[in-house]
Amino acid sequence: MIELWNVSRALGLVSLLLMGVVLALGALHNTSMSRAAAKAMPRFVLVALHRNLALITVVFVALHVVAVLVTPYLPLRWFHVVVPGTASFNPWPVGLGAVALDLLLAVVISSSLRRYLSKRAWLVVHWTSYVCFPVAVAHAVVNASFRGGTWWTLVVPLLASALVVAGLIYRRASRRRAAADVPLADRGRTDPAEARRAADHATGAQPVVREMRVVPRAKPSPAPGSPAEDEARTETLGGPEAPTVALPPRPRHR
Amino acid sequence: MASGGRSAKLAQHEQNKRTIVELTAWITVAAAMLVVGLHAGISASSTAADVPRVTTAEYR
Repeated sequence: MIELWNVSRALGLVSLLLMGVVLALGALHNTSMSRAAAKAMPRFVLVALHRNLALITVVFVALHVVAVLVTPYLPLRWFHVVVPGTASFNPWPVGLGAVALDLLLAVVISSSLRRYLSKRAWLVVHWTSYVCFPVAVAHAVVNASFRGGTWWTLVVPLLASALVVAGLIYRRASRRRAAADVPLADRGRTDPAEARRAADHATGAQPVVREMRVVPRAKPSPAPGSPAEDEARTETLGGPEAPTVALPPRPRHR
Repeated sequence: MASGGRSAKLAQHEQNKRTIVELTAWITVAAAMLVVGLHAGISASSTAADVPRVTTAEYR
């Protein structure tokens, strides 16, 4: 039965390592590294690899949870690993593991239902993986025994954290390099007209323009030299009466 | 000419899909082997302090 406990620990460590790899791959998405890799293979290969590794991680996490639950001398029930703070045995480590599992489930379920969610909602839930990972690392570190002989297993959370941090640092540096092309004075500035055009383009909205034109009232031209012409000139000096006419909007061309 | 390009593109797409499956399979095998290795290492170096102690009340 001790063997089952050791198996569950090994499964948990490998899950953590896989999670680190998945997170690092996600962080490198759309950076210069992924673009360089995309030259060798299409981008969908990298995206599919990220997704497949995430699914494998879920399988390993599920095996880890099942192994913990079926270990006979651990007094854990299924709700202890789902609802944080309900376990009386090792409350903090188990609670952290439950939080990490719930966040992982949220990411997996939201990704499965991605077509029914808005991109923003999906992205917000997806970014909780950056919360899930540190919680999982804390779960691993708190569970490790510092007095026993298996202290070396702490190498795994350390390695996974290093992977994620390296991915995030590279992403940050990659974004900064892209921003360096913009002159310092123009950074963070947007031309309002350009922004409006971009918003119209993004939303597909057509701005409704009600054109206002000055249309002079048509008058019969008087004969040259007649008193009517002088009157007309006087009237012109005073300004022609020009009614403002609202024209109907132009027909839309799509 | 166009059909040749299309068939080459299809073949490349199939190759890419195979690459995804193979990479996934290799990573899964590596992860499984890592589990076995870690299990062996943990079992070899495990001491009494590494085993969670459960009181009788907790077990009950």
